[in-house]
Amino acid sequence: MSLGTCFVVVACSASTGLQVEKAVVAVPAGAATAAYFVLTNNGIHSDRLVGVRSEVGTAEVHRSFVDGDRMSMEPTPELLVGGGEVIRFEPGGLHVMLLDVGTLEPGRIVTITLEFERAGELQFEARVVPYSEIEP
Amino acid sequence: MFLSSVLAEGSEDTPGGILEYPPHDANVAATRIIPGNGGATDGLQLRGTVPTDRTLGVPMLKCRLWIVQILVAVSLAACAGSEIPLVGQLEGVEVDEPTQKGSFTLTDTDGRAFDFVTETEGRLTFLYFGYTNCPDICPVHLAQLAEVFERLPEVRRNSTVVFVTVDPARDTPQVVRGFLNAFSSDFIGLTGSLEEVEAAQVASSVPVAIIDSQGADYTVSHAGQMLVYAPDGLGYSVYPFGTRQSDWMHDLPLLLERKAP
Repeated sequence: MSLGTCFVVVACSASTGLQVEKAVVAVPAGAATAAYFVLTNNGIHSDRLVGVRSEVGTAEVHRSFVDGDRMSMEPTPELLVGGGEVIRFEPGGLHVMLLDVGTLEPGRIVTITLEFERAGELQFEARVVPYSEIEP
Repeated sequence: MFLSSVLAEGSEDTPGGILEYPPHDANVAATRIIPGNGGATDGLQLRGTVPTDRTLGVPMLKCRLWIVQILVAVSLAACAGSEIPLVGQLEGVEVDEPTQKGSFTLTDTDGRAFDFVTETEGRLTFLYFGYTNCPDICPVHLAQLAEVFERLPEVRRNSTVVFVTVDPARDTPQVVRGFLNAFSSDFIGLTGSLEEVEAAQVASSVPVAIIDSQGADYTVSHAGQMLVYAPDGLGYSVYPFGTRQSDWMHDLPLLLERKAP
């Protein structure tokens, strides 16, 4: 995934080693848009992503996947993040779906909060970029 | 198939199976190959006097073999030249046999009837079945295309992009128009009844979308590929999700050259 002008702020949870970087939100075209980022578990213990919130709209972790000869999408209410694992939220795969966000101008910063079973909350900032800067 | 059978017949009839090449008479000449969409020998034209056994005093069989030889040579030239220039040349997923456009009429975002085949005739045509609440697949495809058009103005001028909603219950013409304007006001959006948009999917040989209507924010499983038809009306390749901009940049100028004869 090429994220063009990546947002370089890295959000970390010092106690658990969970880290988010390269976070972006696509400028919404319809009622829904998506946040993409790279989630890294630098710790040795696994954790479980159990929720997500956004300062705009409502947020859910979703996963796009190939279902036979169709593209499909499903909610992912829980996601295991193994020790040392790097999970990419990217087009065509995992993403945070944001619904009813209204208008988001490019360059705006959106605060998103991930909720983990063990580590608690991890808050990070994502920059709004056009879909054209997000290549699968 | 025809040439194979003739060759087989000729070989059997010819003592020793000898084929002469080139033929004695230079009047036998293939002069032009017209690109076409049909068989490998489409457009074959012979100029000059085709010799006969009477005029040249050679066995009729030998004359027939010369013609066969020329037909073979011309056919091979056609295969290697303009007849099938795209095979193996495209970054998209090439189809085994070029496909025809599906025939359907839906309603555009201005409320006008839009006959897909008629309205896109002679254009490099993009057809996508999606829905506007799609956060991840549809907008990435459309944004990518809009970006490529910025870089390829000649392609843009000669292209028509058609987005057909598979979710007409939520995607009113106004909603579709607003969604497409985020990418290009030139993109055409089509709606209809659920039955009509399903018929359009069937006509276009894509899997009909499945709408999971559990809950208010239901999801839709739908064909993820962009269908592309060259100006000659044929689809040579499709573009699944994950197609890179460089793939589009490579293929679209080649497809644009496929004009109708």
